Amino acid sequence: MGLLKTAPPLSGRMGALWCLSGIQQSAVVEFGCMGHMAYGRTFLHRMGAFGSNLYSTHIGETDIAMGDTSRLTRAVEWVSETQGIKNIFLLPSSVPEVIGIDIKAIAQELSPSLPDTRLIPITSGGFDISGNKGIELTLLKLCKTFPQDIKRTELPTFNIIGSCADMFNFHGDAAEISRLVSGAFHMEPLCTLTSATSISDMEKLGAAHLNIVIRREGEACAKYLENRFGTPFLMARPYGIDGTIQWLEQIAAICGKEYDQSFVCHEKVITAKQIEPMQVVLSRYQRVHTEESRLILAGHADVVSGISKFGKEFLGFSHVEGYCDCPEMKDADIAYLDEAAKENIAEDSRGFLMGSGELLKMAGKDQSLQIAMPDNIWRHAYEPPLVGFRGAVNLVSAWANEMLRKD
Amino acid sequence: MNDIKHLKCLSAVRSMTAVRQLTPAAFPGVHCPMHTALSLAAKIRGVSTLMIGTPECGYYSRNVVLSSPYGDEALHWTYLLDSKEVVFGFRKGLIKAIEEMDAAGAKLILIIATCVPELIGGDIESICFEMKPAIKAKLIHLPLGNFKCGSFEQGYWKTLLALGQVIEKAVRKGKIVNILGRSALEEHIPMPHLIDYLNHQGVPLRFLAPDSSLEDFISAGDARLNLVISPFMNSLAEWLDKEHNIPYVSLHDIYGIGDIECAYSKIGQQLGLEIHQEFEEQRKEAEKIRKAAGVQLENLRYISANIGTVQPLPLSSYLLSLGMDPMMIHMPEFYSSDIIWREKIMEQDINPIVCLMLNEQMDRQIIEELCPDIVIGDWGGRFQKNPPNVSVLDLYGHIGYERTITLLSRIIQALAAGKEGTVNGTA
Repeated sequence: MGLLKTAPPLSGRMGALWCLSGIQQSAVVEFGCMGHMAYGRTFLHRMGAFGSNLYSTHIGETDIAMGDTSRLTRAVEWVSETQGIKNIFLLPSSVPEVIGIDIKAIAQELSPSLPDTRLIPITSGGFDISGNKGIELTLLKLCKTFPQDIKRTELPTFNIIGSCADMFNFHGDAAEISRLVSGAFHMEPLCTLTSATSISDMEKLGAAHLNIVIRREGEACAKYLENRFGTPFLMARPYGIDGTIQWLEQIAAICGKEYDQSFVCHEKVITAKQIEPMQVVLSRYQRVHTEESRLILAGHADVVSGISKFGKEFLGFSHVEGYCDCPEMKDADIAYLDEAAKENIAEDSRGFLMGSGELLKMAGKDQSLQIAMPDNIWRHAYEPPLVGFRGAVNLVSAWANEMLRKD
Repeated sequence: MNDIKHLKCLSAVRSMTAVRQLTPAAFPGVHCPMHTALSLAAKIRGVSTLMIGTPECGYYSRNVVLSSPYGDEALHWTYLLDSKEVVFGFRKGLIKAIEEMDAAGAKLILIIATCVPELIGGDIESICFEMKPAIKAKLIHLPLGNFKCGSFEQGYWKTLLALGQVIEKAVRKGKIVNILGRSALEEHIPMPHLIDYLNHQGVPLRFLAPDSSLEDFISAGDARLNLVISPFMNSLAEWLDKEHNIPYVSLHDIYGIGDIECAYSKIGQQLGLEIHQEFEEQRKEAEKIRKAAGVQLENLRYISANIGTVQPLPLSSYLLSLGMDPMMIHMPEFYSSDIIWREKIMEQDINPIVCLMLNEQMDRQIIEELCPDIVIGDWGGRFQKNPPNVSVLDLYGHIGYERTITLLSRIIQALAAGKEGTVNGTA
C-alpha cells in the first residue's frame, strides 16, 4: 500500500465490523488490541450505527508469545452468560491475523461449552482484502447463517440488502427506498441488511417476495437467497425523478404488478415543483458560466454512477467525472480515487464537487456536498436521503446552494 | 457476586503486566497510544508524523490530524503495510517514504509504529540511524504497539520524552521557568495560582505542551527550573534534570498541605522569591477544610475509579493520610514514579486491589457489590447518591492548595449528599 497523505481505503476487517455493527440482538467480540475497537466503536456511533454490542478482549505481549486465546474465551463466555447475548460474532483484529490465530477452530472449541449460543467466526481479515470485499463476504456469511426455512409472507414484503455503515447516509437512503416501495407497491419491509436489522429479522430473510440490492457487494447474497428461496432481486439505486420511476418500473416488472399510479404521480409532481425553480437557475448558471458546467463525483461506484446519470441527463452538466473509492470497482467511466486524483480534484475549483468529507475539506468546499465516507461529523438516522424522489430534491438543492456560494 | 479473584493487589504490581481487567470484555475500552501520540504531535507546531500500520490505524486517526490548528505547516502522513511487507518487511518502502517527507520540508518526523510493525519487528531505529546523514529532517522513532503499551497515557508521555531528544544544550541558564504540562492558551483549565503569581513576579515562563512549537522544545534546555503539572511530563522532567541539569518540582502528584508548602519553598529558593506570604491565606483555608473533614474521613472505605489523567497512586497516598481506606484502585498506567508511591502506600500496611475498569456498565455492578463508602472518580453509578461520588476528572491540570481545597470540599459535599439520600430513602 505504501505512503498515503489522506485517509486510506477500508480493510476487510473494517468492512466486516461496519457491516455487523447494525445487527441488534448480537455482539461482536473483537480479539485484539483494545484501541482498534475503541476507535471503531466511536466512528460507528458517529456514523449512526448502533445495533450490535461491540466488545474488545484486548491482547498483551504474553498472549501473543504464548498463543494464548483465553481472553477471547473469557469474553465470549461473559457476553453469553452475563449479557444474555446468544449470537456472537468473533472478529480477529490485525495482530491475531498476523500471528495466525484460527478463529474458526476457537469458535468450534467453544461451542460445546455454550450450547445455547451461536458463535460466528468472521474471517475476512486478510491483509489483501479490501473493505468492499469484507462487506461482500460478511453479507454472504449472514445470509448463509441466519435465514430459516420459511414460507413467503402472505402479504407482499421486501428486504433491502447492502445498507451498511460504510455507505454515506445509509440510514436516510434505506428509509427512502423503504418509503418508495411501501408507497408504490404496498409492500412491507422485512429486513434491512444490515443497518436496521436484528437476528430475528435475518431469520426471516427468506420470507420476502423481493430483494432490493442497493450496492454491488450485495449481489452474491441476493443470488444465494434467490437460489435457496426463489426470491427475485433488483440490483440498482434510484436517483433523480426519471431514474426513480424507471427503478419502480423494474420492480413492477420483477413482481408482475403495477405500481400505485396515484402515489407515484403525486410524488413526481411535488418533487418536480420543488426542483423546477432550482433547475431553472442552475441551468442558466451553467449556460453563462460554461467552465462551471462540471460535475465531479467521488465515492462508492454505484452512488457515483447513479448521481452522474441524474446530473448529466436532468441538469445538463456538460462534463461529468466519476471516481470510485475501491480500486476493484474502477471501469471505463469511473476512475479510482487515488492520492493523485484527490490532489488534482482539490486543486481545481471549477464546477460542482461531491465527495467525502475529507475531499471536500481538501478542496475547500462546503460539507453539504458530501456523498461519501470518510465523514467528519456526527450523523443520525434521520438525515435526508440522496436516493429517490426526496433525494432528487436534496441533490439539486445541494447544487443550487453551491451555485450561490460560487456567485 | 461477580468473580474478582483474578485481580492482583498493589503489593504484586510492579508494572502494567500485573494489572488485570475488572471484567473480561472492554466496552468500549480506551484509545491506543498511537491516538494520543498523534493528537499531541498535531498540536505542536512544526512537528510532522509518519504513522506506520494498518488501514484501521490510518483511517480512524485521520480526523485527529485533520483537526491540527497548524494546517499544512507540518505533514501528517501514513505508511500502510501490505501483505508482502507484513511477511518480508517494509524497510525499502519506509526509507522512500521518509525521503519523500524530507523532500516535502518536514523538520521533525515522529515515526509512530503501531501494533503490526512492532509485532513483525521492523528495525525502524536502525533505519533512522542510517538515514540521519542523508536527510535534513530529524527522525524520532516511537514504538507504540498497543499490545506492548496498553494505555493511551503512554502515547502522551513517551512522545514528550522522545521530544527531549531535540532539546539543545544551553551554555548558560537563563531566567526562564518551563511549565511542563499545560498550554498558556488553555481556557477550560484555570491557570493555577502559582503560575499566575510567577507571571506577576516577572518570571519568564515557557509552556511546553499542546500549543507550543518545536522551537520551544529545542530551546527548553536554557531553563533554570521545571515545574511539572502533568504526570505525562514527569519522564521528560527527569530527562532534563539528568541531561541538562535543570532541577524540577513535581506539583501534579502532591496534595498534602505540608508537601505543597515544601514544594513552594523549593520553588521560592530556586527563584529567589518570598513565596510563602503570597500563599498563606490559601494554606490557612486548606488547613481549615482539612480540620473540618476531620473524623468524617476516618476509615472511610473508598474505590478509586476513573480519575482521568490524574495519577491514581499519589491521590490514594494522600487520601490514606487522611485516614481513608482504599479498597480498589483503577490504574490505567504504572508510571516510573509509581514505584515510590506504591511503597508509601504499602508502608501503611494497606494493600488495595488494583484493576483496569474498561466496561462501565458491568464495572458498576462489581463496585456496588463491594459496598464502598464513597467512590472517587467517574463510574457507572455516578448519578446516584449512594455510594456518594466525587468527580475528579476536571482536576487535571490543577495544582497546589486550591486543588486540595476543591478535592476536600467535594468529598465533604458528597458525603453530606449521600447521608441526605439515605435519610430520604433515595439511595
